[in-house]
Formats: sequence, structure tokens, C-alpha cells
Amino acid sequence: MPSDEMAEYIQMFVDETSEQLDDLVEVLLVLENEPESTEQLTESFRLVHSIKGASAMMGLDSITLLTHHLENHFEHLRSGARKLDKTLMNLILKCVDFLRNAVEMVREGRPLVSNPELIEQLAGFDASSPISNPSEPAASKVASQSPIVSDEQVVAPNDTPGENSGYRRLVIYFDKSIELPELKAELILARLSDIAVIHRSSPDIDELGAVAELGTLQIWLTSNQEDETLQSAADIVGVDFIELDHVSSCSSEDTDAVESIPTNSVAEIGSPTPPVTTTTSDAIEPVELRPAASETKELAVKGTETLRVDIQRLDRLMNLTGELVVHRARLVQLASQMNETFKKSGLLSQLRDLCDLLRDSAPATQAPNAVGGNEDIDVESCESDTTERHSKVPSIVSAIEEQLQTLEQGRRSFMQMKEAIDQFSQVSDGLQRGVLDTRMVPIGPLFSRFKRTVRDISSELGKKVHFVIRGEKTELDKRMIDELGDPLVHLVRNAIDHGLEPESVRLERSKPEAGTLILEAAHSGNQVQITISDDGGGINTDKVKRRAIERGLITPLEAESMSDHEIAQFIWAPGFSTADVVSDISGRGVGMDIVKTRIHELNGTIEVASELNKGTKFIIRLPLTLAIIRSLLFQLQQGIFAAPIENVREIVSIRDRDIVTVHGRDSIEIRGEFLPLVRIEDIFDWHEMEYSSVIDSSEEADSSREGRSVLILSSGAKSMGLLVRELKGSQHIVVKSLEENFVPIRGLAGASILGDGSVCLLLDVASCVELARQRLREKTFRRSIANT
Amino acid sequence: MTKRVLIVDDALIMRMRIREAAVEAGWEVVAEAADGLQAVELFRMHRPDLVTMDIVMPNKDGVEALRSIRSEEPAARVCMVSAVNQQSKLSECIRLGAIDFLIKPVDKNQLLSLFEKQGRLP
Repeated sequence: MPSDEMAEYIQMFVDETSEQLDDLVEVLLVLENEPESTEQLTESFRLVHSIKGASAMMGLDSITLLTHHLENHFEHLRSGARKLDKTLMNLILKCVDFLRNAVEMVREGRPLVSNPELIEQLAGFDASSPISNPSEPAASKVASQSPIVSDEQVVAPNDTPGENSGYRRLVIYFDKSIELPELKAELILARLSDIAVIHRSSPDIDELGAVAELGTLQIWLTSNQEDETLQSAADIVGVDFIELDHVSSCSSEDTDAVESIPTNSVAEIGSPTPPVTTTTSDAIEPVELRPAASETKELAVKGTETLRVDIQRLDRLMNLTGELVVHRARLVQLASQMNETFKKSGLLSQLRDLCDLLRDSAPATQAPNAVGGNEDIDVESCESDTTERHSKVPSIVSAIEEQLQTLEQGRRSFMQMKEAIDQFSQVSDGLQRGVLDTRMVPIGPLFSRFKRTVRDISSELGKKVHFVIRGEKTELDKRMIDELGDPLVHLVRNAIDHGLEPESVRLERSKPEAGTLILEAAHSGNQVQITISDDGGGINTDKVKRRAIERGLITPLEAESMSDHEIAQFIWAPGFSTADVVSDISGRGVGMDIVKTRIHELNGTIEVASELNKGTKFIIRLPLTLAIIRSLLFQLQQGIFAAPIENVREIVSIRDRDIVTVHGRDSIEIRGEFLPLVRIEDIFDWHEMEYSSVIDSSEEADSSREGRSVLILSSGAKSMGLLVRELKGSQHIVVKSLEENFVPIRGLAGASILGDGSVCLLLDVASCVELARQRLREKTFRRSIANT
Repeated sequence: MTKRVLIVDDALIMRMRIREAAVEAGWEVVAEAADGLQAVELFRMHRPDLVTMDIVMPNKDGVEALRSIRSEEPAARVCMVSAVNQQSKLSECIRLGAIDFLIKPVDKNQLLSLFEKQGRLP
């Protein structure tokens, strides 16, 4: 295949093969429990076969070779000639790993390396297989049922009316490069036997399988068909050309031109083909075991019509939709501003009334001479002046009335525009949902991959694990699914390695010997919650505390005042590990902090809840999508900020006297719960210069006001109150990464452009809560040191 | 008259390869099927001049699809497309009346040759 053509197919090959490998693993895991399921064996055979076919076409020899051997194994398994045992299963899984790796290399355009060791192992299994190469018996079976003439037919050659009463001889020249020429020969004989009586062929049909290289095939036949018809029946793919001549007998006297006739056929000159007997009944036919009606419900479901789209196209669409949402927001905002002006239709009617009044009163003021006599001097001029002015009133009034009409029209247009904007909003909402939907994929395949991980780790560690998957139909943004794989692997590994106790310990604690690991996904509001829980030993907080003090993360003094829950949070600290022995699987202390970072990058949160000897539970909460976030906007001294609506628990109004001090920190009581009260300065350091001009009213004036708005922000189980100056309502905002456009700032999830073109910063509530706690702790700590 | 072909293969990439050759050879691809059941149904609907038929497929394999198609239309022209180690299946297909077969990986020239040779027939 030319290289440019190849490149065109690589992406497709990689995608399709990866999916097939995923499916294969799934099937294999089922097979592990029901090793004799014909259905699953057939399915795995089919998958391997498809991969082989595709890779062969791509010229990826090392994949083809391996899958070829794998396919043989499945063929044997399917035929029942071999049983799927653990050793073979492990070998097969190793091959799957190799294939996955190979596909990855293809994706990256790296050259493939073959794995002779694996092939050898596979071949070793082949050799020990109780069945010989299936193609051999198959070939002999072919012969048994080939359409070559039997005795009865041979009796009648002369009865066949032909345009020429004699025999005709076809010499078929094969393309040297074709595969299975013997089958091609068989096909030609079969096709010709429909329209002719075949008396003899060379090589003989029985010898076809034995002929090493078939260059030509000679056939002697009689038929009433035209030469051309016979020729075209023999002219199949792989045939270079065909010679046809009329001969007197079906002997090979005039075959000297053909070199490749086996010498033994010469000895049979003149003798018709001996009757074919079915002597090959002892041949084993492994392929036939596949049931014809192997349709399963599961396979039928897979037949839904889908379209593969480059994710970048979806990203572009998503971005455009994002822009649309921004513009919509702007329109809505403008409309609501204009609404103020136009809402009061009362103003127009009042103006109209005024005009009427003026018109009525204008002539009236002209008529009477009610002016006092004392002011006679000026009356003339004054009167003429007012008269002149008054005479203008009607024209002014009518001009105003004209304007009023235009204004009224404008008002009506605006009302229509408002309606149009409402409709536009609806369409834009629908579009946004639609685009989001296209990116949503079920989490099932991701979860299924863990069956394999769990199997591998548990067998490596010799722990029995009961693995439960729930909510695999939960849908999540495709990009998130892609990004979630690694963090989840880490958590699953940790759970089995550290979480679940060894069997002996479990029995001591009167727990079932097999540990349970549950991977669960569920929707909750606008979020997806993924839970990984085990019934293992839980987090040993004493150990964590010790390690945290050792590593200087906290002082013993601080440790005293911390709750178990707080202490457990140290597992997120970079490089933190309590494992006494670093195992292959986990315990190197790289991981948990990375897990947390990765989840945060997805705008998600992760929490841990643990109970000693009962188990550990990790809860990951993720937004449904990354690009558009419904947020609450609020004004701070430094500008407009936003917080994801999911993180806003409630909004309260407090007075100064509601603020109390608990452990030296400002707090407020919300329904019996004391929450820290935080100002934005407690979270971020601000360069005051930049904002000094923005400050329009002093903070003092602000605080003197009755009632101040406080946002109760919560991330997981942690909450805090944030003092804000003014609430701006909720809005869908399109989040732009700060990292890509500016610099990453801890505590900020991104920025967005608002309807009026100004920039608003989106708080990353989880890290804000953390930052605030950290800084407040430092502050109180410093204060307590200063006091002593 | 333009000859019409139905392409049957569970692998999208194969279907694309075959389609490409068919179009290049001046054929019209009336439909594509990804399994045997679809194949029989689409054959019934379109009555194409030629069917290219994969053997290992879900739902109904190529051999069974061939059997159904041939029993419904004895003149149906079906060319099997198969992997090299499927000889026994192939010979069964030959018995069932397949008009030709191609071995995967299918060389484009072979595909073109198939369409060219089949195109010459009335």
C-alpha cells in the first residue's frame, strides 16, 4: 500500500483496533469464568481475526503474525481441542498487552518491534496442541466433496451434445503471487462442472493440496456451451490467461507445451479419474462447530449506527457554541437594560396627556387679559412675547406627539426583539445541550478496563477481590473519560494494595476473605460522582499523623488540634506515603497528589472518607462538561468574580454583629454550624496598586450598611462563607483557561468574558477553601506564637 | 449499464478498501453490510450484480449469509473475501456456489481484477 494511502487509514485502524482490544479483554474475562462458552469463544475468535485482517492490510507484520498465532489458539479452543487454562489465559492477556502497545506505537508513528519471545511461547503451545494445523485436514476434506465427476458422469461424455463432439482442453495460467491457488483450482472446477462435464484435470483434484506450486491447471471437458462461456467461467481473480483448444481425446498427448504437469499424471494417460471416495471422514473439522444462529442480544445491541468524528471538530463546535452563549448573554443583558427604559409604557401615556393638556391650555392663555395693571409698562412686549411663544405650543406639541409615535413604535419593536431574544436563547440552550450531548459517552468501557487491572493486581498480590461495577451507563464528557483513566487506576491499585488487608488479617477481623472493591458512577445534579470504595483497613490516621510530623508538614502541637478527617487529608500531600514497604504496585508516594491534581484539572473534586478497619471511600465529583459552567457572578472590590453554581450552597445576609470569633478566626453561624468567614484578601494576595483606582466607595461605607451578602461556598464536605459586595446573578460562562492565555493561578479555575466584554475570574472553590484554611491557620499560628 | 455491488464486511476499513476499488472500476456500491443478517436483507432489497462477502462476521457468518442468498436467488454472484486460514470454510462456500474468492489482505489489484472480470459478464 502506498504510504499516503496508508496514512489515511492509520487513524481508523488505531481506533477500531483499540476498541476491538477492549472488547476482547471483556470477552476474555468472561471466558475466565466460563471457559467453554462457545459464544464468547466465537466472539474472541472473531475479534482476533478482524484485528489480523486489518493489520495485514496495513502491512503491520508483527501484529499480523501475533494475531495469526492467537487466532490458531482460539480456533483450537473453539473446536474443543484445547481447554482455556490459566497459563494460556495469561499468555493471551500478555499478547493483548503487546497488541495494545503496538497499536499505541502505530498511533505515534513509531516503528513496530516484534516480540519473538511471545510468538515462540504461542508457537510452543501450538506444538503441544493435540491438533495439527487445521488447514491440512481441511484441504483433504475439500477433495472429498469436490464436484469432480464420478463414474456415472464419466460414462456419458459422448452423450453430451457439443458444438464440437470432441473434447475441449482448457489451460489456465495462474498469477504466481496468488494465495491458495489449489482452492482457486477447485473453484474453477466447481464452476465449470455446472456447465460442462469434466473428464480429467491435471494436476488431479486429489493432488491439488500436495502440489507445491500450482502454475497451470489443465482441464479436459465436454460441454454444449460456447468456448467463451467456458472461458469466462474459469476466468476468476488470480487467473492470468486461459487457453482453449479442441482435442480429440482427453489424453495429455498434446500437453507438451505445459511444463508443470506432474510426471505421475502422465502415467494415468487415458484413464479417467478414479471414483472419489469419502476416505477423509477421520479428518477433524474444527471450524464447523460454530452455530449458525449465533446471534446474541448483546451483539445485536452493538449494531447501532454511529459516526466517528475527530474530537477536535467537536472541540471547535464546542468553542463556537461557547462564543454563541457569550453573545446570547450579552443580548440578554442589553435587553434587560433597555427593558428599564421601555418597561414603563406609563411614561408615554403621561407624555401624551401632557401634550393634550398643553394643547388645550395654549389657546386659553392667549385669550384673557388677567395681567395686573401695575405692570402695564411691560405688558405689551411681555404679552406679545408670551403670545408668540404660546403660538408655538401647538406646533411643538404636535412635533412631540409625532416623536411619541416613533417612540411607541420603537417600544413595540423592542418588545418583539425581546421575544426574539427569548426564542434565540431557547435555541442556543438547545444547541448547547446538543453539542454537549455529542461529547457524552458512557463510563462503562472505562470501568470495564479495570476488571483486567483488578484481576492482575489481585493475582499478583495473592488477594481475593470481589470487584463490583455500578452505574456504567452514566455519561460523561469524552475528554473527561480519557483523562480519568490514570487517576482511577491509581486509586484502584491503592485500594487493593493498601486498602484490602491480606486474607489472614481479614479473617481475624471476621470479614469475608475476599475483599470487596466497588467502582460506582452516578449523576447528582449537574455533576457526576464516581466512588471507589473498599472494605479494607481504612486509613491509619495515627500512622499518617506520625509521618506528617516526621516530614515537617505539621508540628506536633498543630497535630493535636486536628481531627482524624483533617489528618487523613495529608495523603494528598506531594510525596506522602505511609507504606512501610514500597511495593511494585503502589506505595512510592507518587500518586495521590497527582491524582488530586488531575481531578482538579477537570474542575472536579476528590475527597477521602475512611474508617479504621471498616474501609476507605474516595469520592470524585466532576462537572458534566469542561467548557461551559453555570456560575454565580458577584462583585468584589477587585472586579467581578464567578463561582460554579454547584459550589454555592446558599447565600445569606449577615450583619456585623453576626460575626463571631472562634479560635481566633472570624466565623458565622449558619443553622447551628460555624463556618469560617473569609474575605477575598484571605485567599489571594493582591497587588493593591492596580485596584486602588477601582475602589469607588470605601470598605467602611460598605460595612456600615445593614446586611452584607455572604456566599456559602462548599467543596465536598468543606464550606466557608465569602463576603461579597454585590451579587450579579447566575449565568452560563464559557471558561477560558488561564494557563493557556495567561499564567496558572492557584485558586482560580479560569476566566471568562462577560456580556459587556469585561473579564471575570472563575474561582476554583476547592482550592480556595483550602487556601483560606491554610492561610488562616498560618495567621492564627503566627498570632499564637507572637502572644507567647 | 453500471454494475452494482453490495459490500459485506464487519470491518469498516475493509469495506472502504473494497468500495474504493469498486468505484475506481466504475461500479456502483448499492449498500454496505456489517454482518450476515444485514447482508441478506440488503441483498433482498437491492438485488446487486455482485456481493463481496466476508466470512467471519457477527450475527450470521459469511457462509450462512451465502447459503441464504443463494437459496433465495440461485443466480446470485457472491465473491468471498476471507483470511488465509479459512480454507475449509472457503471450500464450503465453493460448494454453495460462491463465484470467486479473495484472500485477505486483499491487494487492490485483485479487487480491481474482480470488478473488471465480473463487469465483463452480461
